[in-house]
Amino acid sequence: MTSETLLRIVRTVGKALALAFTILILLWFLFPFYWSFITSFKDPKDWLSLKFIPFIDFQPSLATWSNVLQLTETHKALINNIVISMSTATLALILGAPAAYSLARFQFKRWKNKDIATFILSLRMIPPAVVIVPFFIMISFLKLLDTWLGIIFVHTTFVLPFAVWIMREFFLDLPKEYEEAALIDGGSYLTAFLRIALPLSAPGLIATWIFCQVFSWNEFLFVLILSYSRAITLPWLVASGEHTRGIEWGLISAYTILTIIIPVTLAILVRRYLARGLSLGVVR
Amino acid sequence: MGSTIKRLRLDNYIPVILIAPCLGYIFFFTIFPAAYSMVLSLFSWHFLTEEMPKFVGINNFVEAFNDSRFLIGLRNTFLIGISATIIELLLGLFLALYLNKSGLFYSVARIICLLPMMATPVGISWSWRMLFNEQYGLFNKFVSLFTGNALPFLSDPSLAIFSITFVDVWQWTSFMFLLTSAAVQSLPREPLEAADVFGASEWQKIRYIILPMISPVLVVAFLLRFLEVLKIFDPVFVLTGGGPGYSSETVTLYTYFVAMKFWSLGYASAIAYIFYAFILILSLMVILRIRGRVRG
Repeated sequence: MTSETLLRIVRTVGKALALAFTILILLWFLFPFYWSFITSFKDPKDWLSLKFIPFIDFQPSLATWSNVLQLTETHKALINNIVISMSTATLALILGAPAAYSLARFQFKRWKNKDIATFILSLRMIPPAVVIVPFFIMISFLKLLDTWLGIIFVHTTFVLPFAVWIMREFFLDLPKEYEEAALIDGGSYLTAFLRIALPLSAPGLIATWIFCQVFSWNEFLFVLILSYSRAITLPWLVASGEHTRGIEWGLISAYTILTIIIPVTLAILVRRYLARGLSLGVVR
Repeated sequence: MGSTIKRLRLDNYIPVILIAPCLGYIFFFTIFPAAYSMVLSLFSWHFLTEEMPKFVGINNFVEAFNDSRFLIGLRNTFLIGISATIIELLLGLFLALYLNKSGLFYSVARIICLLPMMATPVGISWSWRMLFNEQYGLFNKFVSLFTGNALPFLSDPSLAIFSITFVDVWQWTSFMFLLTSAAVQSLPREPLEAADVFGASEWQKIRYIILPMISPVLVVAFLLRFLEVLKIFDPVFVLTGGGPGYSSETVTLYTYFVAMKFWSLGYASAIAYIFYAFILILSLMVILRIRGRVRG
């Protein structure tokens, strides 16, 4: 056997192994989703059984789902989640977009813009453990424990630095000429921002809004600390899965699917922006 | 823009007006609480029984370094952090390089690779807890085929840490994939085409062209991810609750217990700040690297 054929064999085997390994990883990624999904359609007796394929291994039933969707707890948590995540994202954009624009377009005298932006970003690196105590004290002092507003304020503090940083990038991407034309035509900086820059960077801003929304949707630690009954969200409900009757796996699986479905769908929609957003602009 | 256009007088204040609400919010909701917590770390305050905080100086900090539960938390956090980040980087890099091709299989695979990252951590942790279940879980059915007996994935101290790391790797390999894959795709074509002309193998192209060119992104991705894992809370809360005992507790979980279950607010602030001190240098490295790579 010549070294040429040996090399070819090694390469073919290597390629096959790489493909097999990749498929294995992909299955691994999908499996928990699949498992929770089918468990939510199983009868209680099958919750922990190893039955894989609906209609063949087991008869799917809608009992768990109809139960879950009728609970007032579910409605409450779902509404809370929607209200809190959307308000957080909106507040972060209202506060963040003007700041980001200001940092992208004007020169501040005392500090370099990049340093102000970097300072804002550095606040994201504060570990949540540091603010558990002060947030609890602040929110209870403001009489906002277990309310939408309390959680919205806290979630906004976590997404705001990210939102400012990434929106600054989007504004820097815009060619200045449009805004300059508006200024020459007698518009103010404010009209240049509101009428020209905002609409032009809309896709980026919507992506940012979705990032903030997903973050708030998935956040658990501060929801756990700041709410106990009225303002609980789906992650709170999922995490408190252990009941006196033991763990109801089907119920938890249904909640898991219900909680996951929105962020995952949104992520697929904005996947074009994901890398840029999550790498904080390091890759484009 | 200001240099090219003559500014109107009223417009001079616009930049400040635009940024002021954001800075005000940040001051009130981030700087002030963080400073408050720093001051509180010098006090002893049992929230439920004591009306007012009592000044104790550095006692909390001394206590923390003698608190074996806190030290175990620190050890676990860094152990999970470093092992998860390394595995995530390697797997993510592999996927990014392998899936960097056109075709239906590859584009579907790239979307699948993004899903875990966006799934609500507490939710997906329950899926894994179901699969790790000692009596009925799929993993144990599989393991017992080989070993004959089940492994206590969540109730054995050393296995519990492993299981938490496993779930973190499942969820966040996505992130590494996303960043490295974006870096690979934004590489200039010319060097790779030149390598093709000279008959370089796939491996040579990866080793001598792609890896050196994406290494700055790899470093940032590694640091960003490492900082994030160190905050780990949700999977630990759901999978083990820190147990058995407190053998799989992480710093954030312990701080949560100290603050919200033992109501010892001063001590909770102190341990959080000790932890922050540990990761401060890391944070600075990340920040400066990111700052160096963006415009403005």
